[in-house]
Amino acid sequence: MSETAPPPTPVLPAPSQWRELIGREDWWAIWIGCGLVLAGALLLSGGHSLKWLAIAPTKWSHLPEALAQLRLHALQYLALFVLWSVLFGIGLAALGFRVSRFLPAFALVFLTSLVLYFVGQWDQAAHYNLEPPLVALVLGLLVSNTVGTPAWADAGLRVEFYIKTGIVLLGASLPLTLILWAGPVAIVQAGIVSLITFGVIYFTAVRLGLDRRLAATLGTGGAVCGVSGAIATGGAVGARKEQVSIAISLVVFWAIVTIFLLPLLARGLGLPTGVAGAWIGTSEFADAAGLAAAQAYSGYAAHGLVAGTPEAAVNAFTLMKVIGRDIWIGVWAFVLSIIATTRWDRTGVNSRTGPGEIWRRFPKFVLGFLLASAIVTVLARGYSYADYKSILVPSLVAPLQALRVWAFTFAFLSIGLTTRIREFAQAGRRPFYAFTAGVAVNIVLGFVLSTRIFGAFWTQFGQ
Amino acid sequence: MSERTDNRQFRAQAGAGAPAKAECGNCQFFCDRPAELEFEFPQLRTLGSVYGSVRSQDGLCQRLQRYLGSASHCAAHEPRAQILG
Repeated sequence: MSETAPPPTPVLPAPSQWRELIGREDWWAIWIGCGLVLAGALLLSGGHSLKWLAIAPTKWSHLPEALAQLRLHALQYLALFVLWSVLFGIGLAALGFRVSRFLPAFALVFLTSLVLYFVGQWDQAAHYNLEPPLVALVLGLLVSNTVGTPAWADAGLRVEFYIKTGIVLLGASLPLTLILWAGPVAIVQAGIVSLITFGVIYFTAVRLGLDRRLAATLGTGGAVCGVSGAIATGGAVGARKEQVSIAISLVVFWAIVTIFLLPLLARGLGLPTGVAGAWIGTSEFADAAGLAAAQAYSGYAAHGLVAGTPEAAVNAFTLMKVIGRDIWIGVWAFVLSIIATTRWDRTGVNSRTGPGEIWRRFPKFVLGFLLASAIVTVLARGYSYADYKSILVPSLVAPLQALRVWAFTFAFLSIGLTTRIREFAQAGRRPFYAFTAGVAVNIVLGFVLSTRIFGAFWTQFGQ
Repeated sequence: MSERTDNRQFRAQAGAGAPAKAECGNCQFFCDRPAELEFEFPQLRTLGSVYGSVRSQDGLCQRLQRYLGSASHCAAHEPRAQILG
């Protein structure tokens, strides 16, 4: 509290809890994702389907075939662009963006994603390692770090909004029973890795003479949920501005490196999709980066290059990262804020915190992921297994999967287009060493847990 | 307050009533506007977001150059001019 009493100021009316429902992208991801699931379910009940709208390129061998596909389905691609523009446009307008800025930027993102999606369906794509997530990322990085991403494109490069919407849609293809079966294993495995990785980064940083607030911000960035973890902890402990910037830079740097490294290592080691997805989920630092890696690995499976079902890599990743790590960020921030207030050096700023902080920081889009799963699980109960495969999957689940791949592709492209490699240099050596120690332990421990301790479980999961 | 409002809402809702708490969320040095935070942390949007739930109502104190929760408070607190009317 300030030492001199501040002049009287008007009090805030009781703030509306409802405002958050339209003021945060997590909730918009739920409205869009679950809205599409419900729309698909309603169409299905009337004997229709989202199929026409959820258009996606199919395999092709020669360029004329691809162009013929494009011509044949041009109207559907246009309709899909309008659908995404309207849905994301409404959400971003509610978040304070100008639709007039979003639309041209999103048109560019959509068109580039369309090309990347087609490239990924080329029958020689796997031979040249042209997995769409990796190609999107490389293309974005090249543009961003050579000619530069134009400022007007900023409103269309919303990585987290796209990835959260995609994760909600992903819930529709994961039965709730599967989440309940594998979720506890994911929580245990991720819990072990999170605690050890945090400890390694934190104590290495303190040993190197870094401030405890920076150490904690780095630790949760590496151990829990990447950039989100860093900003949640940074705010909870009252970190200095440059400390938060350092943590963000290091998370982004290592997340980009591991997008390429983890699928490469997993493929080299011949890991099946379920195991590789669990490893990536344990050892990647951010949802979007991890999904790029996991989806690239799914692509390897789709081309018969690795064992396991293609979907298993993305599914195992999501359970491990979202259920095992992301949802605990509020708890980490709350505990660290108490420690910072009671044990660490005074900064002149006093923070008030309470258990309510756990809910306020909870990544709400996870609720949408679970809700989408519950909706499709309940719907599926009315079908025999044969009917589920012949009716529900092609009419509802597959179109939602196609929409999810679109949302993810928008995100992967946006990652590259917003990454400035030269900004990584600002992190400094000691924070780099501390964070890198955590990365090394995280990757090795994640591998051991995914392949040895829980290997049988994740192998079965992938079948 | 169980839920913190951001600057814009605070200004919009400020009317007659009892004194507001001397918290960072009501301080003129506190910035929690998402667009400005993205500008201050340019790499944040690559793999994170200031529009997400995890940020809660945290913001940047432009006086102390610290990233803080809106319920924090310090001796340098200065109420927003708009609020004083």
